Amino acid sequence: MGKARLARPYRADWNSYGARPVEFSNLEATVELLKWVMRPNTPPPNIVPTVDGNLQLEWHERGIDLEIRIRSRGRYYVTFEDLQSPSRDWEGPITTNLSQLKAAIDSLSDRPD
Amino acid sequence: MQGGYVDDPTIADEEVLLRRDPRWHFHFDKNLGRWRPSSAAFEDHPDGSPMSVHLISVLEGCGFPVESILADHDGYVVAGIVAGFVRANGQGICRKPRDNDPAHAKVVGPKTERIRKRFAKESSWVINPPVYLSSDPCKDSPAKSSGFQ
Repeated sequence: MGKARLARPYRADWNSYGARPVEFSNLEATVELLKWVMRPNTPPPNIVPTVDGNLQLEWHERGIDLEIRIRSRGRYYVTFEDLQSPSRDWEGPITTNLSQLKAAIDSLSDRPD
Repeated sequence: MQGGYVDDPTIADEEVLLRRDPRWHFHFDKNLGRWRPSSAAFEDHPDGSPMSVHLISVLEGCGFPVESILADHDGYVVAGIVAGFVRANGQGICRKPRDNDPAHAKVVGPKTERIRKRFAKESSWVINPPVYLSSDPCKDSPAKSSGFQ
């Protein structure tokens, strides 16, 4: 069952509205990013395919909404919302400097359930 | 407006716009305490053409149940979002009937990450995620999240 669910987004039109299949290179880019930013106490993300064949990581817990769209290796778009402190909200593209993204992951990881 | 489409004023603000949602496009939002679609479920076509939806009033007028848009789409669910909310976020709605889908329409306008997140959080289930997903660690029942039933 798990394999079947993973396999279908790699076919064209997996969303019934013309989505492109997820490219293997985008999977690699996603794994690479996760290796850089995840910590042992980081909750696992939801990994979501997007219509253009990319992947998006999402966390909606601990009072934080964090979404990272992986456009390619080293090119991300991040939206961070802290529901407990909205003044910390930000969004924007991230390329070589991952410090802001790592700080967002750290906030998520350090906050209790 | 995108691609020469114009908002159709005959589509009421109360109209419910339906969108098929595959299994990978909904998950449990612990902040909200309910299952909801991902923001990735509300995107334009990868070729740039506007996002497709189905008008519930047209389906009902033709005597078709909502389930009819899931024909040949096993494992999908249906999310609904109200036209007035969509318009309030800078979108237009245009009828684009097809031979096999008279309720087909397009949602036209820029869908930034922020707008897609709003759609995802504002949408409600018209056909719920399967009951087996209620085994989520948060013990939530997806049936609780239905807003249009």
